[in-house]
Amino acid sequence: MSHLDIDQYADRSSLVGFDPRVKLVCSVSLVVVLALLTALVPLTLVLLFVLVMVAMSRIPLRHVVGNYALALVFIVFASLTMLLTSGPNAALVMFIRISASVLVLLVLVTTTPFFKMLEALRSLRMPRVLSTLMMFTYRFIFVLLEEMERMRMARRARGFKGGRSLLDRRALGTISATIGMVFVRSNQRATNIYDALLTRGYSGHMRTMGKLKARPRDAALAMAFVSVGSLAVLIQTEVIRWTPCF
Amino acid sequence: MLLKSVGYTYEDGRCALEDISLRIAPGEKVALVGPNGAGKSTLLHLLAALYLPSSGEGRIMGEGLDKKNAARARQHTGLLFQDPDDQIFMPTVEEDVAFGPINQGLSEDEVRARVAEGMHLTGLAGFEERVPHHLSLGEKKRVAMAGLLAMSPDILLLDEPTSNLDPQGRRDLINILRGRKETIIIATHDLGTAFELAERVIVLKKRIIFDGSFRDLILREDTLKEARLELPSFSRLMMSWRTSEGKDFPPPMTVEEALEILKKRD
Repeated sequence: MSHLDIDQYADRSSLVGFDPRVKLVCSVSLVVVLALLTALVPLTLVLLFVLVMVAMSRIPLRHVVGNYALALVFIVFASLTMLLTSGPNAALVMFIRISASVLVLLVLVTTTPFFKMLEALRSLRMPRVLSTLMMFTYRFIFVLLEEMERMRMARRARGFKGGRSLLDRRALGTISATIGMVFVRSNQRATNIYDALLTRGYSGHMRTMGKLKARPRDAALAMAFVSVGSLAVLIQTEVIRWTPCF
Repeated sequence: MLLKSVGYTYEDGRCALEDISLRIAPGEKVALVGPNGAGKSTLLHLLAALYLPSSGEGRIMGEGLDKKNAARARQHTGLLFQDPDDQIFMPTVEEDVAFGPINQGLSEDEVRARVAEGMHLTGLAGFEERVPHHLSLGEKKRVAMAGLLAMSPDILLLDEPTSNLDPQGRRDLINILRGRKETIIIATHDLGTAFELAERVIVLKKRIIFDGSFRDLILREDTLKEARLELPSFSRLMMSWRTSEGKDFPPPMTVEEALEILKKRD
């Protein structure tokens, strides 16, 4: 069975070795800066920086475009709203702002394995119960999907073809029985997992080996983000005056 | 490990075990066999102090099987679940193997040493950063086993360790367990594996219907029938030959033993 894998490009990326805490804080800070920018020049500067990050990350272009396209509907909708209410300049600002935000977050999640991201969130004081819940969800969603796939195959092997329409009562009955069975099995599995946790010394806290270490290159990455963010803010506030020649 | 007249009844009123009395010495290797629903997994859960006896009493390494001491009793045991997906909950193999040692409060260096040893013993070196949902069933079983070995428990409780494994996976698991010093209790339908790993066998059918050596069990056809057990092919062949030819030799436990008997047949 093929898996939906959110970590598929993380290990191949040149940004994977960076401390996830640094990447997380820098990316979120840049999104905050983007939200505050209203002028085209600083926004374009940040967008260019983000595009350089995308290029450096070595994420396949198809993946970037595919994921960006998912957000494009919302970006276009927001920009059109601005176009109709505040004019073309505001629409362009909105378009660049959301696009750059989406791209910087895309680089963050694609180049950081999910588990490292959780470690980073934990070290940044995310509530433990939430990070544990996210970790279990990530681990067992695949087990659940496999179980559902097996049940789908079993239905088909016994002649079930699905309903002709959404209102087919027999099909709906079969599918709801399957969903019920998934819940029953999940409940049994949850009991087993809890027993397994107890046998391995679990006492309410998920503790990990904790290998996060910031290195000089992380400082360099942080400096790059801080420089671009600061420059954009300085241009926005007209402390630095810069007029494009186009 | 000591159980005295232990019984266990589930919350829905279903009786799983009755009047179980046994004593297992440190380092002993015991196979727990019996038909489906005989209570093998329930007994393993009791021995792992996950379930507490409904009646009778028990002790694990001196710790009573009661609410007060269950957590301490659990520290002495490691339970391998039938489905490894129940047991592997961390997102990477290395973190999962480290889970138990970290909870034991060991130092970082000691945790790393235990993880490396567990992964080496189970042939998982190089799998550190692999994610569990990309592993085969055999690999998942080895990860679960590495997680147990890294905790260095006094007692290994294995629930159907070879179920659904291909022959090579089964062989790998036997090789991992063979020669280990811990007390090992294996619940299994696979008598071939049990022959290779255990000297003592307990046949369970809610109660203990046999407790002794494999050689004695093989000679008790009524018990084998009652427990719905089937001997491995080589064993059945040798026992048929023994009966039909009127030979008198101790039942062989391995193919090698059977071969020795055949070589000496004249």
